[in-house]
Amino acid sequence: MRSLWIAACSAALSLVPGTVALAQAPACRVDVWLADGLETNSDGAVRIDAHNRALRDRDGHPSMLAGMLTPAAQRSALTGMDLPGLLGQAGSLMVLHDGPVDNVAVPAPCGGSLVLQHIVFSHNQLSRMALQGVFVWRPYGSARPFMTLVSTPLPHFTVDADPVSADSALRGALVRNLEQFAGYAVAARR
Amino acid sequence: MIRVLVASIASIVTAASAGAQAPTAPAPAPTPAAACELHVWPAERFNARTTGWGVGFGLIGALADSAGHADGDAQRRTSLSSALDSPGQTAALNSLALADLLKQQPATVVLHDAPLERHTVNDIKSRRATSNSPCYSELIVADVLYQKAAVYGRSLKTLFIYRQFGDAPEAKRVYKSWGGNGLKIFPPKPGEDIQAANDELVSVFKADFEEFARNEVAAQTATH
Repeated sequence: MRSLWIAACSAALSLVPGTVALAQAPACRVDVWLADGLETNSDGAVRIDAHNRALRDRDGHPSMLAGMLTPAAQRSALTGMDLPGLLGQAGSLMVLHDGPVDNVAVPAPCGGSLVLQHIVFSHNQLSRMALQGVFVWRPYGSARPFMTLVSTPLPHFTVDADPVSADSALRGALVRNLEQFAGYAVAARR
Repeated sequence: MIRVLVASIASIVTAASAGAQAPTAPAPAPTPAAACELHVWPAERFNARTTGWGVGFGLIGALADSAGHADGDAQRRTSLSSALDSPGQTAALNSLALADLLKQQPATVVLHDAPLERHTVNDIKSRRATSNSPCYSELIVADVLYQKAAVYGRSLKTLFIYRQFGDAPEAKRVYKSWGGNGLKIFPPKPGEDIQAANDELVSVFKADFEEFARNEVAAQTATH
C-alpha cells in the first residue's frame, strides 16, 4: 500500500500542530514520487560489449549498494531540501510518495509533480564513479513537462568504503542532482 | 511475469463481454492460428560507444579517445536504458505487426518483461519459455548500441535474434542480424529536455526491427 508522507513545509509543521497545519496548508503542492531504489550501470576497463551491462546490473556492486538510496533513504535525503523553492514553487507543500507514480491522483490547483524515474550508480573504469538521475517535472496546469538526466561525480567513492560514508556520499549526490535538475527545469520554463 | 497480448484474443474478450450484455452481438470468429506463439524478450544490455579522431592514432590514441568519451557514454547508456527499458522495448515491438513483418503465421505474441541473461542467449538452443505450442517462435532483442563515429555520425543499432522451432524443442532455424538507423536528436545536450530524444530512440528502435524483419524475410526467400 502506498504510503503518503508529508515531509516539507517543515517550518509550518514545526510551528503548528498537525490538524491546524493541515487547515492552513498552502493550496499549492509539489508531489514527489520517489524512485524504487538504486540501479547500477557499470562498464569494464576494456570497453567491449561483454563488459557493459544494463540498469539493474547483476554484476554491478550488489553487496555494497544493497539497501542504499532506498525510498526511505531518499525521503530522509529530501526532507532537508526546499525542493518547492528550487523548482520555483516557493511556499508549496511538498508531499513525498512511494512509487509507482499515480497518474490518477487529483493534482493541486498549482505546483506540480516531480518523478524520480531512475537513480543510477554509474561505474566506469575509464571515468569517474557518478550518481545519475533521470527526473521528470510536470507542472500542474498547462505548462509542458520537463525531463532530463543529471549526474554528480563521486570522486572519493570507493567500492570498499564503509557503508555509512558510502550512504552519506550517495545521499549528498542525490541532493546535488536534484538541485541541478531544478535549475535546469526553472531555466527551461523561461 | 509475462503479458500475453493478442489483438485477436482481446477482440474475443471484448466481444464476449459485449455479448453478455447484448445477446444479439455476433459470435467472435475463431482464430485458426491461435496455437502459434511468438515469444518476445527485451535486451538486457545497452552500450554507448563514441569514437573521435583519436582512434586513428593507434592503441594509445584509441585509449585516450575512449577515456575522453567515457563520462558521456556512461550518461548516454543510462539515457538509452531509461528510454528503452524492458517495458518500453516490448511496447514498441508490440505496436508493430510482428508476425506479418516476419512473414510467419499469425501468432499469439507473448511479451516477457524480464530480459534473458545475455550470455545464455547463444548457448541455450532450446525453447526459452515453457510452452508446448506446435508452432513456436522467439524474438530476442540481444543488444542495443548507440554509436557515434567521427565520420559516420550517430546511430542506434539493435541486434535481434529470431528463432523458429515449429513443433520441435530446439530451434530449426535461427536468424540473427543488426538493424541500424541514424539519429538526429539523441543525445540531448546537458540540461535539455530529453523527451524528444527518447521518442526518437523508440522510433528508431522500431525502424531497426523493421529493417531486421525485411532482411530476415529476404534471407528466408533466398533459401527457398
